[in-house]
Amino acid sequence: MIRKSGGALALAIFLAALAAPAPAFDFGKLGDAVRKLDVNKALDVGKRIVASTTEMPEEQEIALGNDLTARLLGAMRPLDDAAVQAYVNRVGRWITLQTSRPDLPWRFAVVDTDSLGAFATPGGNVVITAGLMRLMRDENELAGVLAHEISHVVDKHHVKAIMAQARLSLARDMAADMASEYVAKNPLVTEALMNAGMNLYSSGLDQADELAADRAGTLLAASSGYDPLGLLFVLSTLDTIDTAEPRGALMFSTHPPTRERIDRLEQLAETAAETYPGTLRDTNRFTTTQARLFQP
Amino acid sequence: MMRRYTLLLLCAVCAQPLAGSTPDSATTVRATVLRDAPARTSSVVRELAAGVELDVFARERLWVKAAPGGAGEAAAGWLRFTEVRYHAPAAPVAAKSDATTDTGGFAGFSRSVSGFLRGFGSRSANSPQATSTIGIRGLTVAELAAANPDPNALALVDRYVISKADAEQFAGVGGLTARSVEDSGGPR
Repeated sequence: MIRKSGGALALAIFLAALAAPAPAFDFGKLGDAVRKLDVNKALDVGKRIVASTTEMPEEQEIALGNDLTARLLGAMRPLDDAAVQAYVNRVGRWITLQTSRPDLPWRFAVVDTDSLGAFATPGGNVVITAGLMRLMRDENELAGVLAHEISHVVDKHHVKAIMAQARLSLARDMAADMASEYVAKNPLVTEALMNAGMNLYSSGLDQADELAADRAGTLLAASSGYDPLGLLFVLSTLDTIDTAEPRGALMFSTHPPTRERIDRLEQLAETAAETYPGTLRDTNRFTTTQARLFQP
Repeated sequence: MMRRYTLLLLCAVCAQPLAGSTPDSATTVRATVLRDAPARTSSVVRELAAGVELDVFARERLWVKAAPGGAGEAAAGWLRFTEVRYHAPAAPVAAKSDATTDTGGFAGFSRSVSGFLRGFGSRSANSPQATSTIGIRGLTVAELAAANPDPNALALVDRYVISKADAEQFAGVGGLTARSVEDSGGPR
């Protein structure tokens, strides 16, 4: 009996340890829970949980991304302007062709809100707010922001974070309840992944992932022919906005301080700009499209 | 000497004076220097401490032409645009957005739209340039958490998804070509 409890306890601790950052763990509660567990069943459950949350097939990544995008669009309605939507899709899709994942079902959407932000969800989805587009100066800046988000998708930042959060969530549930019942109700742990996914858009990605996406996005925009300074210029604009302003609250709370992002990106962007100057000739198409965002 | 003249000439040709007669206001974010031309190799004309109020008269890519507040353009020199923080501009007026639907729970404010929006050259002529009173609401964490999936909205945006061929044509018309780019390193 003692060995059984010890085995289940070890498994629960192992599952908890998979998640980062480590949670404060209630060992008293855990003790009550593991005493009820059948260790063989628990080990089987543990294996299934680990297997289901260490790898995510592309098909599942796309399905999860679709669900999360539908949730985001439930909070921010799409802008009712075909010209703006098509334009952003063209800029974004061109950039995706320069990535290692050009065949994902890429989808770009402009949402009708003054909030400042851009969001990526797994599987090839990028959402950008009209409020952020209104602050931009040209297509190079739009490309810089889209390339930042595309980099999150290509490097699977959200998938990895969702996995980590789901492992944490599952480990907690396993300690608190009968894990076998939990898995029976959630054989594909879809609910846990969805919840973990939506939490990400409130709490933000790891700050290191954001800084990495600034760099990767800048280089990706350059490889698409755009001015590598585009994202840096947008950050400079955002740095003028008071972090207490409601329109920027969500973005500022989920990203590293803008000044830090500028400082870390400046050298790379400037060097890239000298080596790879932007080649964009048509500057009117951005201006014409952006003007639609100001029309009554 | 030749290099100096070349730089000054470039400066005169490329620098984008800010629209309107009033310079933008900004503050230095760190101790820095004003230079006599927009290049790291040009001569230092003045040292600036962090937090110095500046009037900004022009911008040229990575550089801004500025002078300590009230000193006038004759006293201006050049510094990196990343070394200044502009005083906050107002949120632009958004006719097609939810900007005016705020009925409570979010801060509303009135603010004069600053020269910041004018100051960056190619910004759309439709950008607001007048004083406006608007209620801006930001998306909140609670709203995001409470959002219900909207499959109809997803279907709507799917109508605008385009093909690879369309994207390539769009790039070609705009003068964009794909190229191999290397990471030069630098601080991470």
